[in-house]
Amino acid sequence: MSREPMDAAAIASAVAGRECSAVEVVSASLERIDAQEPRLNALITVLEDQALERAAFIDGQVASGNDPGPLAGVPVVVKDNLCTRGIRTTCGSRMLENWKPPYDAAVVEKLEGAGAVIVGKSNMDEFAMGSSSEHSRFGPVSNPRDPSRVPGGSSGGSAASVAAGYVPIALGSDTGGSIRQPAAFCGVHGLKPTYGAVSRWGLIAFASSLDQVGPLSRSVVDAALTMDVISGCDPRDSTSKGGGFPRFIEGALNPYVKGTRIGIVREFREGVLEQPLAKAIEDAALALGESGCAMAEVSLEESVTFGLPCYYIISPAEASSNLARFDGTRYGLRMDAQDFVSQLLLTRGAGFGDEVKRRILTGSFVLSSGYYDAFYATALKVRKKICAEFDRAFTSADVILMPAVSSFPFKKGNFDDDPVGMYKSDLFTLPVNLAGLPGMTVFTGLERSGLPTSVQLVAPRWQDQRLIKCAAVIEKKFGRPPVACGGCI
Amino acid sequence: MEIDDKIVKRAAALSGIEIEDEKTEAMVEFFKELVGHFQGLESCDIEGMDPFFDPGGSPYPLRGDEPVRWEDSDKALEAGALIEGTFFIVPPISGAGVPDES
Amino acid sequence: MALTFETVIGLEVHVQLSTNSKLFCPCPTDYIGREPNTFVCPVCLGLPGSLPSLNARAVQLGVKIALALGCFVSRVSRFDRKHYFYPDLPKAFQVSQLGLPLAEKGAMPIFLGGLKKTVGITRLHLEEDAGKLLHGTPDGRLSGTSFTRVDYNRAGIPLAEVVSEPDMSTPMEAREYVLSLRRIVRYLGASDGDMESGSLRVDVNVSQKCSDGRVGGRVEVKNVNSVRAMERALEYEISRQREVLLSGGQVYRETRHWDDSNGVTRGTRGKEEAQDYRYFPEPDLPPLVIDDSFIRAVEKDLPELPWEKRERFQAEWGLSSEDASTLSERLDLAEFLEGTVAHGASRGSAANWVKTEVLRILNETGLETEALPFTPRSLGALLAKVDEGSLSNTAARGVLEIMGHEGLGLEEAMRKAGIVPGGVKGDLLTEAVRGVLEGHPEETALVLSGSDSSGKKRKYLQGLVMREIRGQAPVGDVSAAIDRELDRMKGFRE
Repeated sequence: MSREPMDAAAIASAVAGRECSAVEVVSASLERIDAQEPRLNALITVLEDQALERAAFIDGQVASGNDPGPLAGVPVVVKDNLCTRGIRTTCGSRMLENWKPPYDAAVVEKLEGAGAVIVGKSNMDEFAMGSSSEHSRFGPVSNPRDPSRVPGGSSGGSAASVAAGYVPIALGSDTGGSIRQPAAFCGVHGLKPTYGAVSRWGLIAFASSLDQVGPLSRSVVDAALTMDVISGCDPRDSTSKGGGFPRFIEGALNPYVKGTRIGIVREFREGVLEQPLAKAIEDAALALGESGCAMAEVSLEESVTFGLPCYYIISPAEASSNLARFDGTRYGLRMDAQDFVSQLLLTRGAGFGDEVKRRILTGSFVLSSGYYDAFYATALKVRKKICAEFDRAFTSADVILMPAVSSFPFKKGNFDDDPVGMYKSDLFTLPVNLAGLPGMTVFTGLERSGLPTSVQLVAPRWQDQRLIKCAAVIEKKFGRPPVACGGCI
Repeated sequence: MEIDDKIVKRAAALSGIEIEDEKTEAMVEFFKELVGHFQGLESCDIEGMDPFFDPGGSPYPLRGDEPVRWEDSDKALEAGALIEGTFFIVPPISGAGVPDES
Repeated sequence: MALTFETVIGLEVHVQLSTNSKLFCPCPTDYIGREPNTFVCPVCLGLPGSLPSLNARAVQLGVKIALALGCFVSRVSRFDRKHYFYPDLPKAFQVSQLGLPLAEKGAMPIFLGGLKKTVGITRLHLEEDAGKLLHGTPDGRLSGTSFTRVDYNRAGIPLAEVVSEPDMSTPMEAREYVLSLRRIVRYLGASDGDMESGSLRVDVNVSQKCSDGRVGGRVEVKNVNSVRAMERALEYEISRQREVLLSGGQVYRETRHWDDSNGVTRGTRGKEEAQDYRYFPEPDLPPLVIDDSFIRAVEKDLPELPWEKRERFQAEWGLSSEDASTLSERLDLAEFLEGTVAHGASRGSAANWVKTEVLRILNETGLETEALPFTPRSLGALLAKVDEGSLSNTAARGVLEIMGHEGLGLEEAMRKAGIVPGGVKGDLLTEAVRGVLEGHPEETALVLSGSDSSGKKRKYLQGLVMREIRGQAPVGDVSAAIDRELDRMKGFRE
């Protein structure tokens, strides 16, 4: 068996076809993790024994002639804000440093039901708040393409795990760009599905109306495979809906895009982007044109102008609410105190990092009496305007092509004294969350520096398969994301 | 809009978080900067916009009334820092907050 | 001129709904007496990553109560999060309804000594219950301090909150309102409506309007755990507020607690600033859409309401206000009464018997009418006989007792009691009369000789006959039969 990290599709096929064992594949994955973790710090928990046990179980299934599932033996990493029963789930925070959930997230159930083997819980910005994966109780994550730089966030650990070849597939969560931005920074594909397409049961909530779970991968086929497994209505999540999705794998394998209208965003034409990223958009448009797509121009002026403030009112508001439950009583950190209020204050003071505190305070402020109308209620209406703008854009386009990020991955520590500065790195991703649309970062190449370029595709709600198809076309032209140097052992 | 440490202190109290004195100024600066961005929304015409975000689709079917016992309540109890028997326990509750009616 | 006052009272009543599972999760709801924290799950414990899913039956019951209260049911309503920190609130917010509640603008009649008054209902909304706190000292391990124990079995139980308009002005009206609301929710099978066990909870809002134009602040009184306690709390608080105002002081808007053992309300220590609950729409739940067919289905299920029954019993059946009230108190009793009439009894005797005999059995045994060993059909048939005179009240009572104790049907019980179908008449009656007269020759002779001037002996003999035939003939017939027999005996003598 090749020592090169394999794609999920190849692994599943090899394991089911008994060309190799799940134990072999998982062992190789654990070796790569072992070798690179000191440098990357992409994982908070490595599941060595459990993973090998599970792999052995999968091999047993195969041996007995049972169907092991479409992801048989595939090692995967899930972000540490997804509950894994009996396995520490920390959200990168001291508050949940030792918390072992008594239940599995829906996506974890689905992955394991499909035969995948979870080998690690990935490092992340604390409670998913951040764009660099530097705000973690467990230390910052390094970008496998250049360890002096950030991998992006908050799913930086997941993106790095895929880029470094630990695993072919990782699950992240995306609230304002937390899958797509680290995917862009690490040079892998990253997909945020339509809001409601994937169950949030067991995803520790940051901003309930914005959060979605999605796959990061080194191939469009793998992203499609994962979407086929994890998407679907879940009665435990009242915001999830059956999308009536066609099988994504079909679109990945046979990406028919002729006649698809690609919307190029007018506002990104002039010097907003680093030149290579602007070129990536042009080249991607060309590739799509070659496959029969038509080009159109769309405007996202309101999204670009109002998206940031709108997002930074709504998401902290929901976060302040979702994180209010941490008071030391039922789970998580508890600081000793003489009375309940002191316990609450001490626990939350010690358990939350600075960025989380900033956002919680912001959230309480915009929801508070006297400020609710000016801020939160206003932001909700602005959100509707942004939705409407995308609706208008989608009358002249079927898929929008725009940047995922405006610059290359920044150096670690770059925004240490400028938290609001970091918020701006989500400019192109967060409007997509506000509108509940599906968006995907697609890798387009590596610069000589080793740093990656990418583009973002956005589709109307429930048209996620258009992303897969267009991504497949782009991937065909630019090639699959390579494993970052040092990935092979 | 005047952003000062009174506003920050109130936000902190509502959040159940205490900001140390030495960090208060930084927090006030942060608030000032962020609220400055928020005020950019004033130029957005929101006339007639309905504030409710509805992810769309047909009304979700409601859950039926079949009771189901969750088998792992003991595991949930294990996660509590202070337990007595099958109770969670908390230190005494004084004045603040909404008092007990049980 | 002397200062006079007008009291303004509004009530907020929380009703636990009789669903099998909780409002937002499938945990069972029969939590009373269970071991703490065993009827819980990730949702009602508020574990990170958990999400709510709304119980359809809770919505149905909420709509049912709303319709019975004449409310307008919102076709679209929303849930909101209400934030505060307290150990019995697992998520540190309660999911409730603020801006768009389930129902609004209804009314409920209350009766005081036969007079009807209508109290407006401002709104009805759904919300989840909190856990329970138990204060006290734990085991020696944590000696020295007194900790509080928390049990989340009750967290997430569905509540309907009914808010009245401030239309009441006396403790009695408040009492009648609570009793009426309790009656309705029990009628509808929507709740046990029991204050003692906590399935019905009341918060009182009371203020004074002075004749000199001053208005006292609205005081909320919490911790009233029974109707009687509510009345006493109101009496105390009204008196306290008036005293303050009479002495020239101000009554401030505040929350006070009723201390039942000392009979006073107490302000909360160190008045904190008004709570800022930071309400915002619950993002984990889509809008609750209720369409016309849902409402029609619930409407179809509505029984005639207690006050409708009461008014009908008074107006159409001619019952007294008191009897109408007693007989409409419980739905099963009222339906038993109506069934009895439907099966042959007259309204008068049915009302009488149900209010005495049946109600007595129900109160003694604590049963519902369904569990009674006799049915409206058999009682109706029995009373029909009494009405037509073929059975005396005494005899009927005897038959009913046999039916009750031995669970026999009407025919069997009558047979056992020695009752003849169709009553005792003709030869049977003659035989019975003869038997009595022959068995009591002294008294008979006295009557025959005409020395029974007061008629006492005759009455005595008649009584014996009645007893003999178990009252199965009208008194007139028995008297005539006795006359005939006496005549015959006279004939023999002569």
